[in-house]
Amino acid sequence: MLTRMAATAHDLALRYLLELSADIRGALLMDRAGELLSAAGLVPPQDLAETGRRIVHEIGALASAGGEPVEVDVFAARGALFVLAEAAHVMVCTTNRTVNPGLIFYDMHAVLRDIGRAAAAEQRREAEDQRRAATNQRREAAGSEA
Amino acid sequence: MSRPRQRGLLGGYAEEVAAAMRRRRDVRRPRVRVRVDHGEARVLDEGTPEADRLLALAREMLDERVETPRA
Repeated sequence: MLTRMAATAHDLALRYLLELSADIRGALLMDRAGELLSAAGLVPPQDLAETGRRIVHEIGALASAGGEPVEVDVFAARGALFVLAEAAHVMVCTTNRTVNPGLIFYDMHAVLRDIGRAAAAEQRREAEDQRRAATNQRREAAGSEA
Repeated sequence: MSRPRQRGLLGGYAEEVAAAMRRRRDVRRPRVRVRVDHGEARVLDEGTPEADRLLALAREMLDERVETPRA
């Protein structure tokens, strides 16, 4: 699962997002269940975990099937909020009002894709470690029987 | 320059200023846009519950205070 990634990988992903676009002030990353995985940049001092859960809940209500990708942009007086939900993650970022939404979503998609790739690599590594451990156990068992 | 022509010019300027103010107000108006499953983006109508909830969340994230109308 993607959520098995080390927390630092999520932190790094958000920091990379903030580096990709100078317009992005702050960002959050949650899983599709609403659990906050990471936060970076300028984020409000309120309970972020609760805000994240509410955002994921709202996004879930917009997606009829549940897991399909959803993009939401909200322009308010002081700035804009962008939400991108994909199969396993929901990414949120805040910007000023003068941004091009297409470019912000492009950067968010790129970072979520990287998180997916990193998680897949982590899964392969875990599977390989388990296979190796099982092989070693079998060898040890065969050695002790002989 | 004749008076009717002056009035016409002033009227034209006034209309341009009013149009610019309308455009500025429209641009600054809160807007919620949604795109599901790579489909077409749709703007949620102002005042619908889902638009209001998303706007409230955006204001929280942007640390925005909603200004109440002055009495």
